[in-house]
Amino acid sequence: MFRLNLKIALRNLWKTKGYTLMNIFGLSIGLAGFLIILLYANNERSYDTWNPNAENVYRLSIKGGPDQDEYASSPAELAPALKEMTPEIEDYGRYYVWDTRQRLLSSGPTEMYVDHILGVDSNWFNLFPYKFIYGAAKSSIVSKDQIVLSQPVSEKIFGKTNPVGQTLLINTTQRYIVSGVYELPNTPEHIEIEGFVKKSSTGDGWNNGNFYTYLKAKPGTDPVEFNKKLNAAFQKLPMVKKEASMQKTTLIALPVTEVYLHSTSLMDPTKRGNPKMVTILVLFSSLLLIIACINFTNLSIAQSVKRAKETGIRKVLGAAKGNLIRYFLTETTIQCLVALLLALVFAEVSLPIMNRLMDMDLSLFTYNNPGQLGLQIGFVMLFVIVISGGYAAFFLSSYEPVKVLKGNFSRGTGSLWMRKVLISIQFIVAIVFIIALIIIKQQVNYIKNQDVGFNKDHVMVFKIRKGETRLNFQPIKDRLLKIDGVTEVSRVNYYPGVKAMQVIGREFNGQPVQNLSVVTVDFDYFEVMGMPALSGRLISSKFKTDSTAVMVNEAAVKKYGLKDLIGKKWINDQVIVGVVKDHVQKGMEFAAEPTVFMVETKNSNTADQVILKVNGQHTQETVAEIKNLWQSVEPFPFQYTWLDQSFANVYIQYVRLDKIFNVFTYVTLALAILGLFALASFTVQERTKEIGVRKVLGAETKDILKMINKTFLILVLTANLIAIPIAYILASSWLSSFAYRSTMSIWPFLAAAFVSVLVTVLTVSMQAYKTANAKPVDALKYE
Amino acid sequence: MIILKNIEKYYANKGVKSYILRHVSTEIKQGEFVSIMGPSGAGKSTLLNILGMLEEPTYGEYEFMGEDVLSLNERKRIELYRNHIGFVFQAYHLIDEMTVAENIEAPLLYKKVSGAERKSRVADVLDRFNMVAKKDLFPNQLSGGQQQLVGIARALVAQPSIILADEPTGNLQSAQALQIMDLFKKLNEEEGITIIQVTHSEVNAAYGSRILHLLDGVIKEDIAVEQSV
Repeated sequence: MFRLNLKIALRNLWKTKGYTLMNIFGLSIGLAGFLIILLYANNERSYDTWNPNAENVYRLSIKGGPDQDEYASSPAELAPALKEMTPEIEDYGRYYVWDTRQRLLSSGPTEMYVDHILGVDSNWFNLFPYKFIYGAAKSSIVSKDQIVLSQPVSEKIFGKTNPVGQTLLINTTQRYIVSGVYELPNTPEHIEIEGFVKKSSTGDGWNNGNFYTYLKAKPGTDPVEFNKKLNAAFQKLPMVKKEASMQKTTLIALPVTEVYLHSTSLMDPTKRGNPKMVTILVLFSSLLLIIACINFTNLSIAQSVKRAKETGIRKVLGAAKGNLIRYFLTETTIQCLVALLLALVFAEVSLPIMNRLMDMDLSLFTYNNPGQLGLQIGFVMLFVIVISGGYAAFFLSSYEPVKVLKGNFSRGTGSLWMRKVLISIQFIVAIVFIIALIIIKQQVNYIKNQDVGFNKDHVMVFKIRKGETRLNFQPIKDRLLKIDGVTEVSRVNYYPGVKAMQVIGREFNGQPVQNLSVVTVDFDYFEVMGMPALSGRLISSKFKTDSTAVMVNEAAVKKYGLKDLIGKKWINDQVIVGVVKDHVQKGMEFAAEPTVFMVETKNSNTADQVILKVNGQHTQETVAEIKNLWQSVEPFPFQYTWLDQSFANVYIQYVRLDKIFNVFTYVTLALAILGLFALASFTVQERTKEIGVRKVLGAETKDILKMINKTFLILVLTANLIAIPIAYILASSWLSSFAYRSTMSIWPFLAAAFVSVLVTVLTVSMQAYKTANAKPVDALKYE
Repeated sequence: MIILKNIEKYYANKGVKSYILRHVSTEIKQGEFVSIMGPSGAGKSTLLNILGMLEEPTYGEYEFMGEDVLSLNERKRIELYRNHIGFVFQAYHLIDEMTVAENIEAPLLYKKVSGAERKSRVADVLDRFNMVAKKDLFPNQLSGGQQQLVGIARALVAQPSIILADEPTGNLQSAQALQIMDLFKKLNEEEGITIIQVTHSEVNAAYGSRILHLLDGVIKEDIAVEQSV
């Protein structure tokens, strides 16, 4: 039975090649889109899942109070104290903030910069059991001169040989001995890591949260209970009992697998995913898939006139409904499986493009968790088969044989209604996509052209690697300024686009000055950045007292009421000499934070980035000269970035979203047109006789076109009415996550409505024209 | 084998009942060859459809082999006609996507006959109808008469006790029509299969043993045919 079903189904599919192709093609496009997003979502959700201890390892963060910010860093003393009082803590590991800095590794002639070598506790690998290729985890970071490298770093320096025992120079002077090489885990991690050394501090005192703490709970510990126990233990600490303000403080232990997507803390060096983006993409790709399924259903039903006779006969021959449903589902399944194969091909072909677009490294066939992916695809296929084949199967199998065999195909209005609803759903989705696309585009353009508060063109940034260079910067600055094309030179620590920030809390005149961002600069910083003083004046080396003076931004003026303090002393007895415009620091989602700019002193953070403005003529020569000069100062490989390029990172994810939506929208619209095409062709086919009669009665081609179009236009306009509010709600909720956002106008909505109507009229007319223009006799003779 | 009591069929249209069948009562015994005749619109096809359980009467009782058909659920009814009734249509109604052999095999599939038995039965029937050479052709590669032969073969393969034929020769030339009618007669006489056919043709009706004349939904005459051949 099954084999025959299969055979007949194949013959049927072959007979209606055109429809079958359309069916399969539409479905495979939908599936391919869904597959790619599935890979992306899987990847986003797979962070740190390689770790066999993942469910018991937590990252600790601290929240000062109910209305305070949460910070990811903590003092080194915290973890041992907690462990003492909490039996659930099996182990802990910390890494030290000041150990994470760019290092120059060299072995013989090979040298390379490495940014992410962590200074950790010796027992770090109890929490994160990497697989060691060379050396042993246990003894690898026992002493201060040992270094563990990741496989890629090791291979870049030592090639494919075993480097254990070899000497490695860090920053050309410190000697380290390679003690181990570990394989990169097969899922991404929330921290960027390229190697490990022993942390250089055992603790900086309770008041200095310079460590990131990870706790390993005993297996089977409930996360909620664990958090409660930690907080109970915390409140019992002597130093917390002593200080009343500490008693509001809470600890948050976040499972390590959730850090990437769900961490909410500040001062967090971890990679951050955007769970909203994952949800949006999964949602929209599911819609795409549903549209493809709907298409499939519609195309199958449209064909069913031809299948009606066959169905009727089968029933008369004794087929029960179940037999027929099975038979039609077989047919659907074949098409779905072919579509899946095609979708895999499409996905594989378009993945490199997607990877470039999204700056990712996804792959289909070397996927790290094939079981999971296979299961997901299986479920999706089951869903697709039921959704796309189910209705058609039930619909076809419930024909009454007598009517069908008499040639009376007038199906109930039910099925037509159903198809209209399906088509409307497709159009609703397509219209929402179009509107979303236009609004995303508008917002991305807005972001790109937004006044960021500084001039990012022709600004070069590079790092100072030696403290002595920084301390004797003035003569170097003078030399740099002599280079042809260099107009301004200064230094800074956190230039725009850098997400890290020093945040301080002080008191002034009895008023708290909380959450003040501090940027350390050198003189002439505002000249390099093209930031004029809105009031007061810029800091300048001409004024001797300016070495302790500060500038503030508008947000600080507003938050702390500094209007009347310009020219007067403020926190730390520093004089506010002027106010600059707010600038975008971390991204368009964040409004400018109250910021103070202070000149580097012994007590401030170090301004360790050289930032300089060039005039933009003969840039190549200018850069070459800067490089020569700098290498005579610091004999390391010269690395630099342009500010406009590095700053673009703050909105890159939205540029990517825009690009993805472009693809989504066109595909969705194409699928909707395909569906419309099918329904139109079906309607025309069904009404051939009516059209013939009308023509005999004197109707012209244009009357017929009007008549057919009318039905569809009503559908599309209804779809617009439903889609527009949905799109409006989605768009405004998305836009509200931006501190800098474009205003929504009526245009995207009008444009979407126009496009949908135009597409409908064109598609329907194309189908109807042939029949409307044919000789009526042919249509009538047919019966 | 078949007992009809007071069968009525009408369509209510805006309160006005338009009758297709009225007070149809009759009994058809095993082994009879009945022809239903009458002008267009007399209700012949409807009566046949009711007999074949493709339609339900509005009123009346229908007993098929001792079972009250109208009280059966759909599953039972399908079971009943799967096992006992073979249909032959004026327009043949072969499945275009199936070969001759597969068309013939189709009813057996729904009866859940085993594969080996299906093969042998289909081979048997093909042999009997001299169509072995044509078994892999598709219906549109056959002439009308040949298609109707396949239609009859398909009706017979499930070994029904009754064949219902709706104008089986209506689309055929007279030579082919005669051939089909001869076949029916032979099946009736040699295998004892009950045959009920709807026909316009006096000649065809003469092959049968009994004629029911329908006029405006009422049985006007019920006559036995003199066997002249």
